[in-house]
Amino acid sequence: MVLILSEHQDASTVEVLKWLNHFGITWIRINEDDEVRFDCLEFAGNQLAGLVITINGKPLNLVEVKSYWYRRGWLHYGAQYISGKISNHSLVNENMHQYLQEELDNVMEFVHRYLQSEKQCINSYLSAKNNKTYYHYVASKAGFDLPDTLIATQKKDLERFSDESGRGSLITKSINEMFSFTHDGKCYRNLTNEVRQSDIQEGNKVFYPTLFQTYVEKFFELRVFYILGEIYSMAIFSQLNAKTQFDFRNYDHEYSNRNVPFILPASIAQKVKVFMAEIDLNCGSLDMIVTADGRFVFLEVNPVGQFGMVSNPCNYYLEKRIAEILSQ
Amino acid sequence: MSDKIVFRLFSSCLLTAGSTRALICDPQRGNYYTIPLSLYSIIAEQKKASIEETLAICEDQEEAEILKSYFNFLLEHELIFLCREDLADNFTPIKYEFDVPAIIANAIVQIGKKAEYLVDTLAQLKLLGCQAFELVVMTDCPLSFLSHILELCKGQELDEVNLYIPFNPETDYEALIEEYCFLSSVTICNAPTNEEIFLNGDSCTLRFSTKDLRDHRHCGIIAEKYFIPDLVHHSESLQHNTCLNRKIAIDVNGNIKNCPSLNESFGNIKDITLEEAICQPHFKKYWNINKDQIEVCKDCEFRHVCTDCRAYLEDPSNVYSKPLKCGYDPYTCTWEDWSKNPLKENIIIQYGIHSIE
Repeated sequence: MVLILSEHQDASTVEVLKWLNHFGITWIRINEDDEVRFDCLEFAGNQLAGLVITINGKPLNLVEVKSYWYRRGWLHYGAQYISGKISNHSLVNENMHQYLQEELDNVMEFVHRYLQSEKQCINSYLSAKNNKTYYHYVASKAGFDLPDTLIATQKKDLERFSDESGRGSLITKSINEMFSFTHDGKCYRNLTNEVRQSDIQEGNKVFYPTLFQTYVEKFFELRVFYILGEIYSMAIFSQLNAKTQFDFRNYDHEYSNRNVPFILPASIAQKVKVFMAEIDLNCGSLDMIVTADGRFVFLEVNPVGQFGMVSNPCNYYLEKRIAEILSQ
Repeated sequence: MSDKIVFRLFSSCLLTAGSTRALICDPQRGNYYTIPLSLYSIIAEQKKASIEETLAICEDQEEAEILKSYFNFLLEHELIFLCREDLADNFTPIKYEFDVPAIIANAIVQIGKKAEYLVDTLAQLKLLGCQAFELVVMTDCPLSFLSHILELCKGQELDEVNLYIPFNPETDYEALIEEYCFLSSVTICNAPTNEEIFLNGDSCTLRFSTKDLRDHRHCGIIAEKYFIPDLVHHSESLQHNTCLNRKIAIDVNGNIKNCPSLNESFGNIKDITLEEAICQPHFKKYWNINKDQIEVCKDCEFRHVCTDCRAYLEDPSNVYSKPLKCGYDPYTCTWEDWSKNPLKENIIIQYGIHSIE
């Protein structure tokens, strides 16, 4: 049986499930909005004899799971046991709740560890935190070309970084994940934007930690889907029109980007493998830029990125491949 | 490293050579363009040449000017791009693999007065992985009966349903479509007008037709308006029959067929399961007849954006014959009205199509 942890809205999961059905493989899908409870863990005769959680009240013995796909999302077990009042003193209540929460967190972390180490697995909850700053550091050690990057709090550092010869223009983007919300019909979100000299001049002397990067002139972008040593790449020609020059998510619906299959040069493929092993991810989507002079510049990795946008234009059948791996 | 700049076709653009001219199909932008065969061979060879080198091979100035205008056209429509020579081979062609997670991918189900086998049929189709359903109500269709059918579909959680029903002046079709959001299209036959309305945020088309499109003899028409410039379609077309591959039909009497227009029955839904019907030796005989094997089509530049029909043929005795209802001649690159072709008159009568036109 295949276990999948995903999100309610995720369309790629549905496509993979169609293939699993077609292969005649039984599966259980847990979403972030399903109610998960810890039920029982037992060691007997020096080995794990049972590990049972319940999904919306239905028991699931994880020992019986053969393969596991962490697509995205989390196990929603927060409300278990600790809704009631333990004492009349709020301080005692607070501390007791914290203690009980930590007890449960400990055993639930074991659930994730057990799934990622004992099963045929694609990705894992514990490795999938998008630690971009650390990933940038590991990428530098793996030998990737990287854009010069500054995370700063003071104008004088930004000015120095900007003035350094040969840097050209700068961009800013989030240090952590992309972030968006909607309020009053307006969508607020942070995409990659250009930083002009006037922005720096008019800016505050001291500011909140912010990421700046040299703008890398691209010939095309690459989206690289890595899964268990296999690499599927797609070139995205977004430079052809100015609207998508900084971020291809600024879609141009009138004249869409060109998305075509691409084979990484062997030396770059090797770096991808070293990098993914080092950050302990067996599946993820990497973004790169290829410059006009043929350099491959690493931008970031998304552990739970969308891969349908690579699979469909390139005819890679990644959903089928994932289902095959889970069926092994 | 070399600094030579070569041209390359975007591999998302799909090339098909006919006997007289060729086609560049651009699915990512939903376009296709006919091009001369001479240009086709220059692009298809992928010779890692620069535009200048290619122009230099031209025999005279006039030829070079023509070729230059072709290159301008290709660059303007972003069908080719310019690339460093050392990266050119990394732009690999698309692999034309085709597969779907289904034993049966699409089904035509004709529905009679009581719709008695409908639930069981739909349940069987779901288990076979079927994704697209064409439901054709062959009898009168009062609102109560229609609601009954749609409730059954809702219960089976079908994704893509195309419904054909006879016109009924008392039915509020728009309200119905709003309620049953799984409907992809609803075609109202024998309606007073011809009209098309897009509903549910364009996810459903409501179509009124003065014709009785439930009559299967209307099917099988090959025309430019039915072309499908699409990568999945192209890939399927290279290996399979784009009409009949993984298709099943259950007619109004419960007979299991490849298509309502084909006579051969593989049994009745009252007696056998769909799976048993599919396992019969001849059930899949049309599935792998592709356009490269079909007479005339194999010489046509449109063959991989085109649809097919194996039920109405120019030569009914030849399973590889050109579809009867195609008026295109790939040798002269002209379209004519197939139904007025004197050479087809006898066949049209033989199939009984003349009485519906």
